[in-house]
Amino acid sequence: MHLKRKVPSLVDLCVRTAIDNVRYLGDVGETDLDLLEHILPHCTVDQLMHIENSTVGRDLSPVTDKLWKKFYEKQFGTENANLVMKRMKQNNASFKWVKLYEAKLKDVEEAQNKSLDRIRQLYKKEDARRQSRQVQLCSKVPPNNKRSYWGNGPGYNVSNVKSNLMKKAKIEFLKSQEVRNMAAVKKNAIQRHPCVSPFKSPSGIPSKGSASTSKQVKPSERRF
Amino acid sequence: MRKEDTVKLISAEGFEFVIDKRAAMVSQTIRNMLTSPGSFAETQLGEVRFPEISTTILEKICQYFYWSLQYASGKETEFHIEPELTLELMMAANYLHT
Repeated sequence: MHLKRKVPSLVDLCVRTAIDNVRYLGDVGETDLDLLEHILPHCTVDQLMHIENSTVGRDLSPVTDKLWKKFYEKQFGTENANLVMKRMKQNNASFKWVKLYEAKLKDVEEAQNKSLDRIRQLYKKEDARRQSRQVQLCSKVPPNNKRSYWGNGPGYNVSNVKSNLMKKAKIEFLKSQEVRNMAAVKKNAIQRHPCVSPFKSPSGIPSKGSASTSKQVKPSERRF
Repeated sequence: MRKEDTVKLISAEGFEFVIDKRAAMVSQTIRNMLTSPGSFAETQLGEVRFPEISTTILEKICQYFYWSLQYASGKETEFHIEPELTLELMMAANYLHT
């Protein structure tokens, strides 16, 4: 007995191959809508978008419109889809689902960008706040009071006085006649008693013809 | 093969494929063309022209015809289709009811 096996038709084989290679499809040209009905439901959003854009001069919506409606519901929820349909009815307008999908996607993207910007701003603010509270290195070295011990112009020692006003007051006091008189008396007293003098006594070092020695011998000769 | 057992399929470019009549009859369209009494010039000459089908596609179709006969007789193998031919081949196959 000769069993007649059902041979797969070439059309079927082609449809199967097309479904397997749906990611490579672009311009579907003049392909029958009936055939596309079998193939296009196997596309992802990106694949379907690519095919629609590549197939110029031909309206695929008899096949694709219901596919886009499904994509819309899946991506944005059936509630949103129903809302959109209601609005279209109210306004007596009709839009292709592919356009509705694209528009909604744009809206969602814009909202997302806005909130990302907000977060970025908050991070920036926090960063700036943290920076301002940090200990920062200075390039200038504050003046060291101890070092300027000998540097005072008029020669008065006011290094132990911190305030400028006090410094001024102290200098004026030191300049006054009374204090100067007292300072002079102190100096003379020191010179009369050479043993108390901070200078070394030259009489301890005998040396002839030394100009310095003879000079320093003089005050020691002044004895009362 | 005797001439009576063959048909000539001619592509858009004028390429002639001489194949077994049984193979050609796998296509319902060709079968109708060849068996309809007198209404087609094809029955007289035993040749069919396909000005819309390119040579590459027509060649693939002939290969399918032979594969189909083989499959029906028990030898089930895979019929490979190059992805770049898929859409065009599909449309031609649709037209030829095969």
